[in-house]
Formats: sequence, C-alpha cells, structure tokens
Amino acid sequence: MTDQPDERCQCEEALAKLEEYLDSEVGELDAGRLREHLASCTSCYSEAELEQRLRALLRRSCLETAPETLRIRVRTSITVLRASR
Amino acid sequence: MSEQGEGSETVAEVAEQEHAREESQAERDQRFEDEAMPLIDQLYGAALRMTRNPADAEDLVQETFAKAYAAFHQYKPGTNLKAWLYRILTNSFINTYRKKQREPLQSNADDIEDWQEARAASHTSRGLRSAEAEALDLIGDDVIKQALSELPDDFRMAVYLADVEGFAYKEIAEIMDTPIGTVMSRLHRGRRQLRTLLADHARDLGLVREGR
Repeated sequence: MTDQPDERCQCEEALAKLEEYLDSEVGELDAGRLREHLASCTSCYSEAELEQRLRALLRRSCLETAPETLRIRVRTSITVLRASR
Repeated sequence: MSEQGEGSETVAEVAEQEHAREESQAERDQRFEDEAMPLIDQLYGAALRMTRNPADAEDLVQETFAKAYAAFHQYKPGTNLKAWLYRILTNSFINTYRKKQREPLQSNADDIEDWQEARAASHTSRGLRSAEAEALDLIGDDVIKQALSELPDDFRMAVYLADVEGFAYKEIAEIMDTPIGTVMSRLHRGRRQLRTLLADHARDLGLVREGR
C-alpha cells in the first residue's frame, strides 16, 4: 500500500476506474481500493473532485420547467386520443 | 426453464399482473396522470438538450406523451417508468427529429477513435486541469448548455442521461438501444470533450489564465 514504485501504477489504475467509480458502477472491492487511493493521492483526489463538480454543474444548468402551453398541448392530445378510442 | 421462470415470480409480480388485468381504462388513465405527467419537466429538459431548440423540444415531448399514452398498457407497473418514457423520447428523437435536423456534424461519432488509448491520459491532459475546478462554478448555465450542445448527439445524450438524470449504464444501454460498452465509450468521450470545450470557454471568459 505504501510502496513507492507502485504509486504511478496506482494512479493509472485509479484514473482508469474513476469514471465508473463516480458513476457507482464498480463493485465494493474496487470501490474500496479506489477510496483508499483517493484518500492518499492529492492529484487523483482533485481529479475526482473536478469530475464531481462537472456533474453537479450539469445537473444545475439543465434544470428546466415545461412551458404551461406544452402541458396544455399534451393534455389536449391525450384527451383527443381518449375520445377516439 | 419455464418452471424456473414461474418459480422466480415474486408475490409482488403476481399481484401486479392481477392488478393489471383488473385495471379499468379509467384507472389506467388516472395512473398515467399521476405517474407519467409529473415527469414532463424532466422530459422537456431532455428534449431541449436533444433537439437544441424549444419548438422541436415541445413537439418531441408531445409526441412522446401521445405514444406513451397509447402504449401505456404495455408498461409493466413497478418497473422504471422514467426509463420507459425516456426510451420513447429517445426513439422519437432519433426517428423524427434527428433526420429532420440533418446536421452534417451529427454523424455517429462512435468508433472513430479508440477511447481505450485515451483512458491512460495523465492528470493534466484532460482539457480542464484540476486546479481550474473553482473556475467551473463561475461559468454560467448558458455556457454549460452551449458546450453540451456542441457534443455529437450520441455523446450528448449519454452524458445527459448519466449526469443529469442519474441513470445507470444498464438503463442508458436500454434507452439508447446500444451495448453497455458503447454507453461507457460515449460517456467517457462525451465528458472529455465537454471538459475541453468548457476549458476553452473558461479561457475565453478570462476565468482561467492561459498556459500553466
């Protein structure tokens, strides 16, 4: 775990798995290893942080409210479909 | 094999099936109203990102709800309604609007580059450096949306479904009707392109300094 020569390898492995880890798509074993690495590696940690920030930013900026006219259009078209049944 | 299938049915599933048999048209209409209609804001948001203009987005959402209503008897209660609706939305987009829009740049971007190579990228070669993370929060929503709109359709949709809607890879694969490996590739490359675009925008806006 603390072996110096492995550090580069660990970063490569961590970065390769990082996306899947942040997407909650890795198993508990891999997740544990990654958490451990992130806790001890500043550059991988800030990479993870940046990725998470991007996701949060996307969620924030893509929030939309459907226009009232669209709600009315949808309801009208459903009423028409219902009547033609 | 059929024995196994029957054996694996849970009490809840059996109850649901009986429920579906007994459900009247009026009850189903009410369920559509209660469960599908509240998702209109999210679907509109997705449609806006897909079509990139409000008029087409509204048409796409209306088409999606009409199709969903007509096919609602095929939807299995208790399964993921949001994913079911997104699949209809995505199919409608691909079949109607993508053809209509006819953007030469929107050709299928998969397989042009081996993304496996890019996975081994170093800490600093990802378009936006970690040190610039703070600048991200200063970027306005419009700039983020603009950057997202510059991604190829398939990348943009994968990123949207994962990052905004929080769908799992498996769900995105079903919604986009593509293997999970392709979803992962689209996500990875879409996010990477997005970072590059945002880094460019951030520099244009003077939010980060040029060079190192």
